[in-house]
Amino acid sequence: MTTVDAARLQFALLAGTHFLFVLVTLGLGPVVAVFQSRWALARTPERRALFERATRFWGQLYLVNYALGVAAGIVMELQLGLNFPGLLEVAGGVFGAPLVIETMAAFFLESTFLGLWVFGWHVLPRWAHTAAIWAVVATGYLSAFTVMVANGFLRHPVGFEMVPVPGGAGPAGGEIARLTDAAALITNPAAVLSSLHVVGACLMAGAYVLVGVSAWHLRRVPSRLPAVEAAGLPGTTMSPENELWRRSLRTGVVTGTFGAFLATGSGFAQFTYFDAGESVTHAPWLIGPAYLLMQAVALLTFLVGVALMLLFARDGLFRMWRPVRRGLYGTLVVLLPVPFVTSLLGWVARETGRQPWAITGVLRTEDAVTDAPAGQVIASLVVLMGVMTVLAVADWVVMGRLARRGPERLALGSPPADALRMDVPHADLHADPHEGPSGSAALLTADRDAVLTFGGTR
Amino acid sequence: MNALGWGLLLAMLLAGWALLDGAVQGAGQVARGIGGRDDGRRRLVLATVAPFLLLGEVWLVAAAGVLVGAFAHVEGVLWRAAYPVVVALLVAWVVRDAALWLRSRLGSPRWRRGWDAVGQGASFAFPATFGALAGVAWTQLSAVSPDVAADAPVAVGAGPGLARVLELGLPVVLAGLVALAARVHGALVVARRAPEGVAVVARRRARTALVPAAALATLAALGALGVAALGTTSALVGAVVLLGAAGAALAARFDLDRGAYRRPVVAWSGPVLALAPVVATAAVVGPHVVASAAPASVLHGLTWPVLGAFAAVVVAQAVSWKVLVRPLGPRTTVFL
Repeated sequence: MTTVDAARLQFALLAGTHFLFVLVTLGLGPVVAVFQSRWALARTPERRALFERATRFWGQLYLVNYALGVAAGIVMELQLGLNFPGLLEVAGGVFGAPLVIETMAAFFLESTFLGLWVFGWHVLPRWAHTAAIWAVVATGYLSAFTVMVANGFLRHPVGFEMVPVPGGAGPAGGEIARLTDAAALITNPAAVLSSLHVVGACLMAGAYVLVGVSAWHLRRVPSRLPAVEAAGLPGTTMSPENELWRRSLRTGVVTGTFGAFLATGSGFAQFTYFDAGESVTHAPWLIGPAYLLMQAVALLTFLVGVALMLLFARDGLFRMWRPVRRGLYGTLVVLLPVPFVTSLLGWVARETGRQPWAITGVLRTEDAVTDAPAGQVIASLVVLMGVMTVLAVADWVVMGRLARRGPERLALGSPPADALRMDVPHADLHADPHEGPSGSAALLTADRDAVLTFGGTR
Repeated sequence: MNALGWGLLLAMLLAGWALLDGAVQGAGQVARGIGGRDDGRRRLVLATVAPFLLLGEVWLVAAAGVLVGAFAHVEGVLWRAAYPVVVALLVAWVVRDAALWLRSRLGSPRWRRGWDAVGQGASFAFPATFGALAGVAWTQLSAVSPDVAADAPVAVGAGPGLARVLELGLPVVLAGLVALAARVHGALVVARRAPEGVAVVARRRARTALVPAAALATLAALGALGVAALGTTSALVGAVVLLGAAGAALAARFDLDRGAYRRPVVAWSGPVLALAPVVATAAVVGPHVVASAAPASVLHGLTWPVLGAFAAVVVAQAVSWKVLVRPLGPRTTVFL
């Protein structure tokens, strides 16, 4: 394996890992924000309770996913400079600009607002707390757009000119790129159309998560309150938990249908700035099938979504003959990974279709790559991918457990005493730390309760 | 904004990271020692610094962004010279984050103990690898490096032997210094914010780290003097700052020994120790970094978007700190 191969494989794997998390962050974020807005605006106690549970349950999944998404993003962004220094050397003045904006404006604000949302839960007034999650969503989308501006420049470079450098040597024949038209860089169709395409894919992915998890629960919980059933009464009286999953399923179907529509429309519109046929020739065995799969998944998602929406009329979907309903729920659960696989293939198709160029027509990938020995790059590939894989799997296991546990024992937004007492085995409560006398004195039972409630109760 | 302005912005972002995320790193290092086998206590220690996590680590991300946008050449030099260190830094960073976010998500005591142990190691390795990277920067971006020395004005009777010693020693010394500084800083933040029973133990953790931190700061100051002797005179400022930090650490140790933990010198020793390596690094590598900034046209094009963004960030963070940094109480959110 050469340095170029190792560097490309490393980028592909790390970017792919990162993107799996991005899909959920961008797809689930607006849904959480909508749930929280409805919580803030709800007038009856039942609706308030329902949307609070929805916000906290989906918000917690969003956060657990976000945590590793950030980590994966940091790794991806820094190893770009590590393995492809030529990219910044030649096009730092153009390609670097959106990345500076991404870190300084979008991500900086996004993380700040997210901190405010998570840790300001009981402190901020409800409206300000709701504004915080909307700010997280807005800055998250801005962040994604700036990354797409950078990526769009690689695919379809515009708004720049090549100027010779004094030394006269360098990866692109002794020339570097200089930004001449910032507006062209931002309105680059490879940035705008592809951003819409990615947003569509993200909404689809978030929707599949919503629908899959909700269907899993709906398949298990009784659709009617046991007391109603025991009394032999007709109708679809629902338990509060059932209501949460039905709401989430509906929201997911609507989001996913819209996402599929957006992804298809902007997907085809992308063919205005690049030649699909020419791209396919770079890797016919990969890119052709990837295009077909993307189209099939989006079209089927759209059609099935519309059909399900028709079934929502008068709760028809939830009143279907039980075996059919259970079969449908089971299918929806199994389909959860589909948008993730499809989106990864989409990225592989986009990036492979550009080769052998790192920046189309300007800089070849082999000239952008580091001059570090192949062994060093392979070692970093193995280390980084090994660590990221372990962490990602741990994260998905946790998300799976939390999704199955449902809205019980949610840590997000619970009072501190509950969060600290939660799942602590009783035996652990009076254990001594490996500390001196004052350490164990601090652990006397009375003190312990003060510690758990931070010296008070709400 | 000219190259100097961009350099100051970069230094400010790194300083913000050292101060805010340093508290999280330090708390991560001492949480197991303070909490022992009691999960609630370990979690309490993490709760005292939890708001600093999301609001703190982004300062380093933003610094990396400024490095890419305005100092791509510096990044190239540094990454080439310290490739394995950068990879180690990334690994430590993501592992630390994952440990903090995941440890409380499942109830199993083994899961939590395991992540706490992993988090402790990563909370040490993260600042340590950053310090090592700073050490490489000291030698690559100052007169210690032959590439830079060629255009340095003076060289006061120091030879390649000294350069060799600095190249080997500085990354190690700075790695230890940054890690221990974070430990002192984090433990003192925990001590200020936690209930008294926990605070006592946290102060003890800070106390034991103060003397080694002072020793390493003194060694780093000697290193800065060596760099100055090779021709980068601005390193003298770094030496003075590091000696000041060493003095503050010893004074804090003296006060903690006699139980006077409310004295300002104790309160300030953490931030001073956390900031000193960053300020010293800015002094040592500053002239060369500013001189090799991106062309003026690039810097000017980015000035207003970046300054506007920075102003927005400062406002958002100021509001957030006002909301989040309040004494722990019944309304504190525990998530980590």
